[in-house]
Amino acid sequence: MILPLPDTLSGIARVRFSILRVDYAAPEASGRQGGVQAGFPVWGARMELDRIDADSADLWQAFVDRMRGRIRRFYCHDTARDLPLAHRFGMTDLTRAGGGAFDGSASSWSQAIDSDDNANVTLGGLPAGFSIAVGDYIGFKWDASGAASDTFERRTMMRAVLPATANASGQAVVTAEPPLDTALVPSGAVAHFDKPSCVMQLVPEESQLSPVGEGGTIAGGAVIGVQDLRP
Amino acid sequence: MKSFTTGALAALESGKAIAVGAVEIGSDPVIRVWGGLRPITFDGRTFDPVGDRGLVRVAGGALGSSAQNITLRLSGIEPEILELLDASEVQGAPTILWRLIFNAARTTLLDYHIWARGRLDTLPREEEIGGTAAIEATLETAARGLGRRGSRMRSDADQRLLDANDGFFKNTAYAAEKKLYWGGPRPARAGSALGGSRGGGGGGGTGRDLIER
Repeated sequence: MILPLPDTLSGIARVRFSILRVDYAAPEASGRQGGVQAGFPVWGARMELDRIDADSADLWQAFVDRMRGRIRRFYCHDTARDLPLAHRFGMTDLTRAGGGAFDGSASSWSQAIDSDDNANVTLGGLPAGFSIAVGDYIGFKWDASGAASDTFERRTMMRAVLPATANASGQAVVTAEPPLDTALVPSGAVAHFDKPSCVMQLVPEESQLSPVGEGGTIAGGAVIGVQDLRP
Repeated sequence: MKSFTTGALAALESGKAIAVGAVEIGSDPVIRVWGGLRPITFDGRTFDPVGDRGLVRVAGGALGSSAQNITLRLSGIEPEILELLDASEVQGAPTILWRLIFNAARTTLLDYHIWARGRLDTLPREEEIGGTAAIEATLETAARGLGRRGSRMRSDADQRLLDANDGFFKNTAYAAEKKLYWGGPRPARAGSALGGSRGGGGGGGTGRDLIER
């Protein structure tokens, strides 16, 4: 069971999505900077809550209760950028360049790594002129092995670091981080722009909701998650 | 000697490498895990993911000093690892540790090589309430004594500890600690340059300056 983030009136005051990497630096006396990175990057999220009304406070409390510490997972998206910047008021009125309504998902994707190790993702089946701004997310969702189709319980995402615009045939090439592990994300995964998210696990030691105050409100809190990426 | 592929060397040189460990423990059943997020096959073996980035925590040692053992820190809640606690013939199971080098985009395995071979030594568990659960597998590599008592030296003193009347190594030279002056003021006498006159068998009965070879 993977829970969604609670949809509250108060919302989330501040959010930070960061790519967590473990680096071992080896600076040398000569001034040369050496080092090696251990393992592969995952997403980490820090959501800070501020002045939460009574109804929202109950929802957040229920959310943290239902997470059961680290037992359950939740879908986490960047609430500051759940849709592409240029289409932040909705994408449902768009049509694909090849015809047909655009539902927020690309009809094809592929990743190429250039000589500088940048990940360039080619997305097909977008509306002509579809704009991807820096900081927009591209989500990838696929079914866990053995799960029913279109349950999409496996998710990850990339964040655009260079802007891109789809050409007349609906194709866009966007440079994004972190590069996808194409042996992990199957080729049949769906690349999408509507609320790209990843599956996260709560970090209960760092998450906290402040005590309930007058009228059931809470002054603040923080919900910390770290990505649980599985094939 | 470890030989690296050109691509791996270039990635290490430029600091763009991502290094991940993989370990095979020859218990029954054989356990193969690596620090990635998906199964991987190389060298004819398939490794299960544990996603633990700090797979190899301590792998140290210096030339001439006592060698250190290697500590593998394995997540204690992965089902692949839990088998380890249940597996028979864990004690002393042959263990191979690989190091995998990926490119900066983590999409290409540039090189893999065996980092160490050894036998599984101790297997302490660590469970911390509100913290992490992990198994630490200590790997004893060949020819390393893990600082235990009972290690032998090829010296007369050591032999006589076993049997005071056994003079088998009486005439055998052993490696004593010699300080050599490279640069600096020239020593007045040859004896002060080499820091004593030991070196013959039986001469250094105290064994104080012995270092293990």
